[in-house]
Amino acid sequence: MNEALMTQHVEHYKKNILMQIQQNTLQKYTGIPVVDENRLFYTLLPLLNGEEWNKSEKISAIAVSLIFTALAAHDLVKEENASSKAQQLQVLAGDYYSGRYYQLLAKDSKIDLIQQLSSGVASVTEHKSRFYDLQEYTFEQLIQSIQLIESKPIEQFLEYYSFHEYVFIMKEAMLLEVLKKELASFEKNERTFYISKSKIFQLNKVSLILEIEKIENALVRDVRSSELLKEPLKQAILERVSAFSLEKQLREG
Amino acid sequence: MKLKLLYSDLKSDLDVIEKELAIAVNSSSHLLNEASLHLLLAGGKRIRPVFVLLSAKFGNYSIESIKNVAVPIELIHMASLVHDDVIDDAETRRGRETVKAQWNNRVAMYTGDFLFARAIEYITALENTYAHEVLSHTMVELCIGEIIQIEDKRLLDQTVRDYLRRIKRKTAILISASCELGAIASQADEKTIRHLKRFGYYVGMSFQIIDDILDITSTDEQLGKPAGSDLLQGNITLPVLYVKNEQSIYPLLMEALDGEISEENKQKLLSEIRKSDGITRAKQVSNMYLEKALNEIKQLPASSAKKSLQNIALFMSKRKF
Repeated sequence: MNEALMTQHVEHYKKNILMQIQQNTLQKYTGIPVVDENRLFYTLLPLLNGEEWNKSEKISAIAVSLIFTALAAHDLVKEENASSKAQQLQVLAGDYYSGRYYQLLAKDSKIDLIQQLSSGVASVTEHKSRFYDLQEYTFEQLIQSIQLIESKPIEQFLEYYSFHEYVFIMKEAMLLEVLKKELASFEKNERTFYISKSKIFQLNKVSLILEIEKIENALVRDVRSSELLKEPLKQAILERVSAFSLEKQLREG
Repeated sequence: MKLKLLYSDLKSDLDVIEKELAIAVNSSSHLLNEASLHLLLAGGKRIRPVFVLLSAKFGNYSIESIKNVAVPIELIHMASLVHDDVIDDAETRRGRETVKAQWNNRVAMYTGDFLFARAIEYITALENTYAHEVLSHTMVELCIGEIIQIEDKRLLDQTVRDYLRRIKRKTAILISASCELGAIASQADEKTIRHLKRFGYYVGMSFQIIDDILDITSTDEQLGKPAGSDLLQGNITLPVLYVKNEQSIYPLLMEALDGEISEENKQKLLSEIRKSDGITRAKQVSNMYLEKALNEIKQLPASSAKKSLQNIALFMSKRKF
């Protein structure tokens, strides 16, 4: 599969996801729902690598993406004073998208996957709340939390369809991307989702940079040496990693 | 008579549900634990689990399996209340501080998301695709109902039909699903499931109309929140719809909807609506739904569960606060 076809697949899925949750009032007041193309790319890794992919995988991949869209909607609810119409609808948007993921999988009789994903979502919210908890967490624990928040439902989806070999690359890539973006925004004095709430990250910026470099090196090495990934997909991943190079992120924000 | 007395023979099973709720909301996150327990301790009538249990009595009843429906139904209700409090910017509920007031909106969002997720996880013990279609449809419709409610806020140009469609999604559908899912989980026959589903729908409609009446006729103490708060939020309910154009009401109503009403005028507005025939007419509509609910339940074989459902329906539609 060449790069153009990969892009087409990602775009096709994005369209499909947005179609599933099209709701005029929500769109009018809360805008187009957040569908992170990079996350979608990593969700679709097996498809993009030419693995057998049928209707069930397709529906489940869309459902997993809806989970992230739902969670992203709720992340946009302000901590204080969310009483504007747009904010009120932001609350409902997340609940609506979440209901749609459940509905989609229920119609496809994927009860066992629903069980795993809902347990995953519960876990994601538990880890998100760590950033508001008075209890202190270590640097390593917070990094693990971020990785889980960013990738758990995708991991469960890949494991469910026995695409185990893709899990490591997906998890590391998701973590890498978010850490780079966060650090770059933080350096520009912009409010970030994780670092702004964490004294540990703010006090250990050097450790954070080292962590990012470590993840990037391991990911690049693994992708290059992978016997599973086909060459075009390897190139696509490496391009994404370099497109999000820390240096570039820090320069461009 | 207290509502709980009407289902006192379910007490031991409701204790099981209460314990299961505590287990279900148990979290590795200290913060979510605290917020969820805060909600659980606020109590509530647990009327939705009661509907699940009583409906299940029409099939092969086993608390061990039926709790897998009753617990998630209550969790969904709890989760939607936490999110509603963010939407309504509510400081108190049932006389207690809301999660968003005690912590902040984001924590309330996480708490609601956590409860929704736990609810879905819990009900997957029920391996029945149709049941999941019912519940997921219910969750989606609940949201659409709330979205429409926000769209319709402060909109005087709406019909009784708009109102009924809104409360169907907002309230009736979850009570209907409670009854339907209870019956499905206990493998009741299809005809029984249908009657119970419709019964739940009609009771839910009647209940919500009464709730909207009580928002106007009750005192702050009885409600556990300021009387007329729905109206001040801009929600046009049935009693108000009937009398919105009356001379003594319209100007005050406009003030209330503009959000600029004084306490004195608010009390005057509530008093004018109470004196009008809006309350009586709304009660008539509620009674009509109650009748329909009782007609549905009439079709079912005689049992103590049937009697309890009838009594609860009557109680909910006749309650004073």
